[in-house]
Amino acid sequence: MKSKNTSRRSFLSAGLILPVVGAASRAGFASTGTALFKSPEEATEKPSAPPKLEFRTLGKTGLKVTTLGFGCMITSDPSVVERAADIGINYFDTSRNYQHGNNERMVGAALGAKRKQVVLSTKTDTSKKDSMLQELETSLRELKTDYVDIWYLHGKDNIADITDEMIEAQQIAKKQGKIRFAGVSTHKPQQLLPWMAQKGVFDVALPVYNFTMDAGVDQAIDTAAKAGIGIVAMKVMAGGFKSVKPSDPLYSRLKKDGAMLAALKWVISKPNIATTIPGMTDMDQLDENLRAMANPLSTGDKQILAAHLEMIKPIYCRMCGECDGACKQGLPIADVMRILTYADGYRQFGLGRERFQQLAAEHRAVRCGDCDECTVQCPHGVRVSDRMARAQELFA
Amino acid sequence: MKVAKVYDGLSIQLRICMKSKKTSRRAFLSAGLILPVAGVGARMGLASTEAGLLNSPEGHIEEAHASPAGFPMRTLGRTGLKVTPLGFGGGFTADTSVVERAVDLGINYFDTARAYLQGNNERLMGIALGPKRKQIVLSTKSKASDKAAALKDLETSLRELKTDYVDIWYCHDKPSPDNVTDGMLEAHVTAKQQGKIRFSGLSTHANQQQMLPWMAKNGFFDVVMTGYNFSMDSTVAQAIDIAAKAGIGIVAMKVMAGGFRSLKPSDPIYSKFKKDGAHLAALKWAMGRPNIATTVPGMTDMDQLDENFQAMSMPFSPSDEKLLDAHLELIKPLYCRMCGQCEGACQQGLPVADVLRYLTYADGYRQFAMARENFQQLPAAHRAVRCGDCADCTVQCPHGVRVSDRMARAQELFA
Repeated sequence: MKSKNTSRRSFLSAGLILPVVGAASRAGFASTGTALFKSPEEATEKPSAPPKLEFRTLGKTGLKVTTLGFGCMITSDPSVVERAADIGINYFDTSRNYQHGNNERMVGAALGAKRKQVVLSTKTDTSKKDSMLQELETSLRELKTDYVDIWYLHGKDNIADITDEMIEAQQIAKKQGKIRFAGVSTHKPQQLLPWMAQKGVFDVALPVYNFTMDAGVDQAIDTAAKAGIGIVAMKVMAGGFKSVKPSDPLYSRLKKDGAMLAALKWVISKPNIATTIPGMTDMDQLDENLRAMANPLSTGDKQILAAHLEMIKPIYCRMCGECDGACKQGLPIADVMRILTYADGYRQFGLGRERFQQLAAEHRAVRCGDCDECTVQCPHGVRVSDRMARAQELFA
Repeated sequence: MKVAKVYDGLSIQLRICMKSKKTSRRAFLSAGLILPVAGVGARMGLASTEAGLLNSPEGHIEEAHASPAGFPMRTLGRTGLKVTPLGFGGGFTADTSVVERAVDLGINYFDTARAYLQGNNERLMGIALGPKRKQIVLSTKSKASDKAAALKDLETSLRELKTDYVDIWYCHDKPSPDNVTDGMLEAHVTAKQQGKIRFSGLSTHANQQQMLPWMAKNGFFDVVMTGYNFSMDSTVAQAIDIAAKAGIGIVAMKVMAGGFRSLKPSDPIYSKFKKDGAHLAALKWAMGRPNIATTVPGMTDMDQLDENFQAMSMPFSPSDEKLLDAHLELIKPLYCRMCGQCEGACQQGLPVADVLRYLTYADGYRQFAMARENFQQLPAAHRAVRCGDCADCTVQCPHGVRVSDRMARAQELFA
């Protein structure tokens, strides 16, 4: 390390051979050194133009966010987060409970000194005021910051799940300056968003939203947006299912089949959506997603999405809620479908299994093969009992 | 006994062309998928969600070219097992389809452990292998030191792996003969008698110079999984030679020496040059050493699998040697070669080599959570140490690792 500057954190990069440009004051995940192995082309190659960034205002928060944000839930490589921040992506989302509680630490270390230049959100799953505020302290410590921009109530799919106590905890945290804005994340925008619009205590909503969803979801989002609530879209890839088999010799060429990028562009094309938080685990995904900010949704994209929808129909749950309560064994169908998508779509087997193991014991014990006949009919063509049986085989 | 390179003429065919018409016990599982997936119809079908919507017309030509004619198999010491020089280290693989594709390509050694991926890696491995499990050599590990706990671990492993035996069962991470308890050995004897394991193994990252000759003399173990890579000195190779001569099969792990990359991800040419060749060269180096039957690099995606796969058909070249020389220079201040020289040197009692290994999980393997979880399993007294509090560091690495800086970094990241 040749740098003469001694910053508070400079010792952290002292293990690295040479100062890393742009990351010197951070934890320095981006590199172990400068490029040692230069090819002849490298000398002549001009750096490509920086990716075009597109900004929108996040509702009444007034925050200016890039339309591509970064969902950090399944990222294990901090240098991907670091690079995204270097490029100028300015919305980063995590949660206290991601990656066994280690994801916030990873995000905090990767953002380092850039934390104040970005909008950072985290979430809590707890429901008592004291435990919520305690969790927030942990989040701040792990994220190495003294405030988060948005603090979400995590995964609230029923209005009844949100208590006055939770709202109070958010208000207290706001007064203490530990959070700037209050949010709710939900897989049921149809129910939650109109209610949030009326309630008036929330600044941001984080709903599921993608090209598979019907007009009811658009209306709910519109109602919330008109009430000034900033909209951050999650699950924008509709499961991330790939259409090319990895065993296909053409896989490496065609793995970017365009459907993921098209799905992202579709969401960004909706003016009510301020930003999106696709999960990104490597540089290739980041590079691909960045293109969505520079290229509008095209006719070709729409065709790709129509074909992709046809393909994922029997496996992807659109979270419409039609099957709620339909299983005679009481299975939370949509939850199990989501969990299965973590393995089949996101390719995160461990995550899928852990979430399954968190289901109630009586739900984990159900085996769909034991029912003569399935009472669940998906209006969108998901083969529910097959998918449930698969989840049971994989995870139970 | 000398480990021979056996070219047994096995022609490993890609199975992607096979259109299975069979309906199996598990066929219902793929019913959630739109179309049967060729070649994995009888498996869980994670490799695809359908039959390749976007195949280009020239697909079949490329398919033929992609099929390897076959590659050399090696004998794993006295076990007599024939293994591919490239094995699969499952430790932090989260994508089942990578394992599936590896087995389809013909890789036949797969390694996991009860402890990996929070106990979920065995399940992933079992599912990905499916009915092909009997065509491959499967190993797992237990950290348990008493007999009952070890045998309980084994039952869990078998259930999770969906098999009734494992080929090799390792005592996990035993760098000293003192770590090997009678309870463990009794568990291995019982498990062998019950047919639940075929062979006994032991894994170690360090202290090979003592461990491997001890194993050779002791005669109990059939296989050793040892840390081994281009950064290590000749005494490790000598220890391996002693073990191999005693008939112990040698599986090399940590062959990438941490997996550190030489290019910054922020570099505009990153995507073109991220495979700088050093990792492939490191793998070829390990495969090219005498006595090494197979290697178990960790692989998380298809790109890594494809790159590593090449190592089986390319000899180690002079330019590889140059790459490794340069790469060693690069990783010198960061990478612990696990030589053991610093043991007991820290005045605060830190297990320096362990902490360096955990830090490598984050900095090299890019697995932050795995690194932190390992760190958090250190004793509280070690987690509480802050290197900044010592006026003077008593640890001197003979290979140039800047130990106190690296320890401070681990404390900042994980503590």
